[in-house]
Amino acid sequence: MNKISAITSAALLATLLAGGGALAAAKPVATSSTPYVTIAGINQGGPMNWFSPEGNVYPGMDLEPLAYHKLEGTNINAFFAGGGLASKWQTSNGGHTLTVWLNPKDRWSNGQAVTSSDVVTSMALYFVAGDAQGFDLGSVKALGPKEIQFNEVAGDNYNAFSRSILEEYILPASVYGGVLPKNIWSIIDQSIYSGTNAKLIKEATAAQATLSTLNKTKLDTLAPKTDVSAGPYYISSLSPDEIIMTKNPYFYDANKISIDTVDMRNNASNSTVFEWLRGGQIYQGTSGGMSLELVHELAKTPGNVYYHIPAYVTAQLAFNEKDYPYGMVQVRQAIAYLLNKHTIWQIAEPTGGTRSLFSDGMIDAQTEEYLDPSQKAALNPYTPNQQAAAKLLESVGFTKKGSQWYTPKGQVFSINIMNVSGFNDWIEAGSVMESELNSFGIKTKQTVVATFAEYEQNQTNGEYAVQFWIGSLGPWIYNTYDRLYGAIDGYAQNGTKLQYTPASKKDGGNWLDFPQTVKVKGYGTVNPGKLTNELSGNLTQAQTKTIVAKLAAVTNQYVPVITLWNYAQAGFVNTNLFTDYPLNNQQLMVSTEGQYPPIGGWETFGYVHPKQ
Amino acid sequence: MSQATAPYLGTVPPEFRRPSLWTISWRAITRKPSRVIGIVIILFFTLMAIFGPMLYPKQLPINPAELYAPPSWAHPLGTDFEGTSVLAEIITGSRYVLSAAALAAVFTIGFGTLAGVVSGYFLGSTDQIIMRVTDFILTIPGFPLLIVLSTIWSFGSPIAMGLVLGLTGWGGLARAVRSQTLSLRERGFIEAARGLGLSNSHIITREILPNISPYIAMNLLLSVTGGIYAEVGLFFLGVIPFQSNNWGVMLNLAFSNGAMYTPQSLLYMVSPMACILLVTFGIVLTLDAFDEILNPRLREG
Repeated sequence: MNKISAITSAALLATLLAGGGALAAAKPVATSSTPYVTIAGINQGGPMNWFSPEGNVYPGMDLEPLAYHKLEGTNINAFFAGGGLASKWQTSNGGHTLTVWLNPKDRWSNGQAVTSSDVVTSMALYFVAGDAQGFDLGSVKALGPKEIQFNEVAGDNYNAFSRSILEEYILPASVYGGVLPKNIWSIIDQSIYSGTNAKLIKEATAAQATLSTLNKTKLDTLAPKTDVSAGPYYISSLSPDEIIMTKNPYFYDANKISIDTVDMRNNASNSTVFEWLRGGQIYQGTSGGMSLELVHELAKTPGNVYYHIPAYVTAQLAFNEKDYPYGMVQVRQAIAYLLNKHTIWQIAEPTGGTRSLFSDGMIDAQTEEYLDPSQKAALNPYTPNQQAAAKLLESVGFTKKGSQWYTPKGQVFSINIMNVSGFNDWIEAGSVMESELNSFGIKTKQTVVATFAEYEQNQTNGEYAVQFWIGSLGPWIYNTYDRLYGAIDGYAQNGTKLQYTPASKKDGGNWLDFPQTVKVKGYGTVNPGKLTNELSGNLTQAQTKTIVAKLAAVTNQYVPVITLWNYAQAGFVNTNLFTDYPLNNQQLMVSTEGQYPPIGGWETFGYVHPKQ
Repeated sequence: MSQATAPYLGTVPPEFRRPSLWTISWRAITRKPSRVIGIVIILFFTLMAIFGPMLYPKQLPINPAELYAPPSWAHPLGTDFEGTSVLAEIITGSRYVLSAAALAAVFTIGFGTLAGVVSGYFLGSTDQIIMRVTDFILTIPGFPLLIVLSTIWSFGSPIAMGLVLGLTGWGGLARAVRSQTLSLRERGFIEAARGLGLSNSHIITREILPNISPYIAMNLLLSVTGGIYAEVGLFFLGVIPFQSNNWGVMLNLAFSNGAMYTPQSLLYMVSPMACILLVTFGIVLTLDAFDEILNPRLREG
């Protein structure tokens, strides 16, 4: 090597080293044009239709409610200030009438104003979809271009009437209105009749059938060509594995939205999400089935911050009491004694949940809110106890020969726990139960069904004897017990009447088959279906607590379900390029995680900005 | 005057005695070290499947204090998501996986050979009917069909799994065996057998089948690997009767729980994969030995 080339090489090397050093020292920065990469469930090939079972539209992103509700246990009408299309609202007529005023700044992503006509159309759509009947909506009237009045069905007294309307997403009449016939409101009026006039009942049945047909043939199948959104974003590109959301320049709080583009990748599998999180490729992501070791491993990625927020959801093991021998309370109690809930939680959901302490059908936070210390102390925690289980089984004629338990009919006592493929926490919990029950001498196996849709259908049809079930679904105590003593136990409200369908009726939806009345220690005879329904009325806190105490005692004593763990929302955010996550605002975290991905909701309330 | 000679009634001299099947097999296997390795691997897994589960309790113990534990003397391959020994799962799970695969191979060979030979030998309407059925089987995408079948059939026993894998996998073999039978039935020795008035069943079992047996044996072994892939694939996809010690279930849970991202649980994922790889490796190494054993033309002097 001659001198010139040596000098040239040295200079080149020095330049490269300096450049590399500069690169290594550079701090990552982002601007509003830096795409925010996150995950979402994408229905491959699905339309941009909120009502399609395979739809691709996202609450808090391209769907905006009238108001963002808070997940508060004891106040079901709590809402965040400043979010949603309504600028204000007012209830009157004893809570049976709601008047809403739209924000004058509300506009769709095509620049048109959001008007009361859009709201009225949306409510008609919710009738077609079968939702509005659930919150007892009787009529909707546009009082002006930005003012709408809602009235509850006469005679009904539903305490979540206002809340249910305010949390609905408003759809553009220009896109969805075409599916509604001109006489839609006369059809709806006919359909909600609940009196005794035979002619009107016949008309109501025909109108309900018309709505159902409309739902299946037109609303479900609608495939808009463009996404018209009143939320902070609209879909600018939709592909099977990725959706690009672009900022809606007409959003009512557009100045709060500091990210121009959100890139949503399809979270097709846990392992894909883990890979992206480990590579720091997504800025927010969550997944079930994360072991503690995995959480520690993912936390090593620069910028990754772990969050863990208690959620108002529980995992439960439910019994179909119509199936032998689960109709015997002693059998259900024995199983409760045999399952070590601590071990189950520790193995199945150590990061995405907390172990359940009270077997009363509620999440533990609700138990703390509603029961006093003496009521809590009266609950049986079903601490693992094989002797107690054996005694209970023997008391109803079960016998143990060798290492195997036999039913009073002389059959091998065997349990088949039904489960769903892909629900890893459930599968792992089922595996632990299998181990615990087999060790005790109850022949137990786990059957995993290929899809949740199939599982749900079979469950509703009463085909499973022992199965997993999601409890609570929200902080509202009525929901919690309605999940148990509502539709799955044969109870449904028809107008102002509570109707009961026995499990023996095919396709009646009653697969729990809990007795209609039971005697409960300290409370006498109790009808849990009726009590649960009372929780949906306008009650004082004291009245609510009295009912909840009875329902907790029933559930604890008769064990229609065994609550296994309380769920938590657990995931990671990455702070390399974006900052100001609402990780310390627990109420916002728990509420916006219901909208997925939550970035739109976070920004709407002033959080998350590019790191300058 | 010639002396009358007594008719020769003696036995074949020892040096010309036809070697026994064991001798032929032993020679064929020991001729190459790779074949010995292959046989050892197959024997190892066969013994594991037969006797291994006897070493463990029916319900393998769980231990929440040792979730995803690294390898130790107590758990040489570490533990899984519920603290159960991965080695114990591999050993106890081998019985279902291997017996289902072996049964699948037997059913595949049984159905395929029967259909192929009967079709190729009798021709005419028999051939037409069998081949249309075969075409139908061939046109059905096997794996998706298995997924659909798994929704209505529990596959709880290896016999059920093997039968279904066999029923869905014999089409290709039937076509190949038919071709070979068509070729053989025109040969002189088959014509001679027909001329001698030997029955069809004699000709098929004594003349045709021995001539295609090397091909069938090779396919039997390959079908075992195909069976393992198919059933483990089904278990991996989660369309399963859940058994935590099934190799496919182990892979499924390892992947979905992120075992591949945490070094201490790597063995949970790698162990079943290594077993599948080893079984396949053993079969591939043994294949040419079987070919030589059953095909006299390939035997070296």
